[in-house]
Amino acid sequence: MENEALLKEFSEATAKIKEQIHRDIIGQNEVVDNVIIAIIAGGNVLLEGVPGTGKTRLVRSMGQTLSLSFSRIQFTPDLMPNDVTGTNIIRKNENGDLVSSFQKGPIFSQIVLADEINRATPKTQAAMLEVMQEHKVTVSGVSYPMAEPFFVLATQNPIEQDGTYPLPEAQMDRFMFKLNMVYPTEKELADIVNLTQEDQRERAEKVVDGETILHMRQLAVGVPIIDDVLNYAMKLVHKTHPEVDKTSEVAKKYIKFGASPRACQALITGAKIKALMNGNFNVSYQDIDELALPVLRHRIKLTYNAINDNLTVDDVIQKLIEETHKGK
Amino acid sequence: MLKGFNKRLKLEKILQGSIYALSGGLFISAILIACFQGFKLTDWYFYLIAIGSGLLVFAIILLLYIFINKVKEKDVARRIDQSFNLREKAATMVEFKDKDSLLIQKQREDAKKSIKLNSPRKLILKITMASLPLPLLGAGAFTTSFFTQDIVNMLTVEDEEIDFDDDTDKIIDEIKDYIGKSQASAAFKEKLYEILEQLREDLKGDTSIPSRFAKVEKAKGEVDVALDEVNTKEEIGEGLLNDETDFTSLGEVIKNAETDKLEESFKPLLDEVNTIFSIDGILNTLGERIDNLRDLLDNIDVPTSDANYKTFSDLLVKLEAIRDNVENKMAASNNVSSSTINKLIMDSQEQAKKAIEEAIENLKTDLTLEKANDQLAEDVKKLMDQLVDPSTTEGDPSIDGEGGSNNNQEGEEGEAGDEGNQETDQNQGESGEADGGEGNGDGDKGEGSGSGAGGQEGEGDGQGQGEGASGGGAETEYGSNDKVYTGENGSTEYGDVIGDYQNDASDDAKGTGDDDLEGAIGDYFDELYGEGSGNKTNP
Repeated sequence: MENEALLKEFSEATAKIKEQIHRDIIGQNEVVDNVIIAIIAGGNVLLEGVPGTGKTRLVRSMGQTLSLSFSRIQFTPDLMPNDVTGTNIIRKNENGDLVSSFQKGPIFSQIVLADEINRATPKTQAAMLEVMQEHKVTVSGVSYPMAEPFFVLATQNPIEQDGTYPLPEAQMDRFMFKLNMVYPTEKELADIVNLTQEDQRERAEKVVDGETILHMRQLAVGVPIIDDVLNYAMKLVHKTHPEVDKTSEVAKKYIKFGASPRACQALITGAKIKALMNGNFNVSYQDIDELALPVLRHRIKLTYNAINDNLTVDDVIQKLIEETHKGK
Repeated sequence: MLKGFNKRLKLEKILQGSIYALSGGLFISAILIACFQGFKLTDWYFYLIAIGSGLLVFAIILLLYIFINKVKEKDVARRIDQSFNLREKAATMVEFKDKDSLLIQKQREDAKKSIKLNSPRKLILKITMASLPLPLLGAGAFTTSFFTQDIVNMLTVEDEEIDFDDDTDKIIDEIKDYIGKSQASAAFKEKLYEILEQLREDLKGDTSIPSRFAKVEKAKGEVDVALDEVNTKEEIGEGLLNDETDFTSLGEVIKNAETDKLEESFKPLLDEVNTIFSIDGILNTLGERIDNLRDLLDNIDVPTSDANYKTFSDLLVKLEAIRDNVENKMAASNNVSSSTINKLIMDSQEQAKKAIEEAIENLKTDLTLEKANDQLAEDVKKLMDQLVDPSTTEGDPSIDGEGGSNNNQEGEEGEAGDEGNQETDQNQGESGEADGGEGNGDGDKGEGSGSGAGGQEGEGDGQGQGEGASGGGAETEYGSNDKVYTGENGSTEYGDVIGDYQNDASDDAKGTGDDDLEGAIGDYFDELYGEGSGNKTNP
């Protein structure tokens, strides 16, 4: 597609995607927007929410809208890595000879729903690391690339923490965003009930294909960002490290470990796409601020001071944003 | 595209710079004017130099500010984005103006479209709030600088070492002058001189008001003691009062120094003498009076050199001589003729009368002196109050010259004396040259011993008896000397506490149940301040 045309249709395309998603998902506007951004950016998303808030439905709808293959992996404590990636099996060929062939696992889809990922063992979770970062699986020395676009949407339940295995930092860092699915409002709840009374199936229709997503991804790279905004984003991430940036009072008091450089990449990439989605052709401070929470909330570890002061990670990030704005 | 906004921001810089420049100019001018005033350079061209310098500083600061805070295109763009919420469109357009790509072109178009929707006039000029008070402060400093000299004068307090010695010497010398000019007795004057000299020594180097107060009070006590030593009218009066003879009325008169009643009080004695018609009469009458006098002289505790004592003593001697003469003459001859007896009686009467009249005259003189001593003592004690704190003495301490004792009391009431010309001298009260009011009475010139205090010379000449006779010719005034020591280096006006004194005295009198006493106290204070006087500021 011509870039000119794609540029023209970028925001229309995302609006259409949103429209289709909202045929199946009531509310959760911010989550939907950020999932779209992540898909276009080629990032992975960790969805956290109580049961029944539409995590699985969102991913299924997304798959339908984008006309991408979809698979769901239900993580359980007994799930083995091979159950995710696939394994070599011995079988008879046409000639009747015993040959070894690789049986692909459920990971080999373009959109993968890793449901309750924190219930799997660390070994199984580790199996996801390579595929999420490099979009390929290596089994017995042989690499099997994923079809692009490839997108992992993992979920976890914030309530049941017993019998779970918290995701390691390395894996958490591979998620571009961590999004919180909030409990719907009363009206939204009513709409959900009405929507699902007749038919529980997803109604979303295909509006965009995978190739278009890739083009959109490429187009978004060229969105201009001024040095001031870029430096602002860098400063924001830098402030999460009290051992490096000694000027941040908030970080000194409340942050134990800060965000990795991947946070900067996620911020800028996401901000560019967000700008285009909003019909703008440049990145603004507002774009950075709006993405700061999803990008940073799973990459920061708080100190006990924050617990004592009843501050959540979102509260601390908000304070950092205010502090960074003051120093602009 | 951004020209209009550029101009707007330049205007903002000029305004901001003008505020700083104005403040700087005003402060510089203020400093220069203050310096010039400090060096007493107050000619008009110095002010011109100061103002000119202020203007120069204004221009320099303004130009520097504009130069340092040059408006750059980037700043304009940033400001446009902030003011109109363009989400960094203008800034991106400016930063990427030299680059080209599809997206950049689109961004540029989008930015231009957004900027065009907003007029440069809508760009609100921002002035730093903290800078706003600066010109006001500068204006205040500039205005105040014109009054630098006055302010310095007001604030300058010369550190003078507190030194009362000079003032003390001056006051004591003036008191001594006053004493010298008074009509009091020489002996009393000498005693007062001694007391004053001793006080002068005691007060040397003493700057503590309470200490000085105590010393002055002590000296006043010594004045009273000296007065008791030279004045004997009290003792003699008491002695006469205790006498069971007709001398009791004389005792009152002498005690109160009522010189005008002396003759009257001696009248019984004179009548006795006049009614002596026989030798026995002479011997008995005189003998009785001689015994009275002897008892009196034996019982009163006064020095024999005392004038009043001597008067009575001389009278006694003369009466004894008369009696002895009669006795001797009668004893010398058995047969004395009646004419001789008559002559003896008449001579004795004459001699007795003469002796009595002489005694009267002497007593008059002595009592006049003693009255003068009393007055002088009071005056000196009042004058001594100035020594407590010589620095606050404001003058006008004069004492109502109530007239000296008038020797001749035959004059009619005189008119009130005119007030003399009074020149106030620092710490000296009025050094008046008041002429005493001239009485219109027929009386002879009295030797008024009315003494004006505060250095006022009571040289009133002959004043007829009467209320108008005021030796100094000036009204009594109590100046700031009239202070009461309240302890701990404090003092207060006499008038502020006298009301309390009256109340306390009245309460105590009420407690005694003696109505006369209570009445006397009320009369005393009313006399002091005037009846019904609510503002008891001055006695």
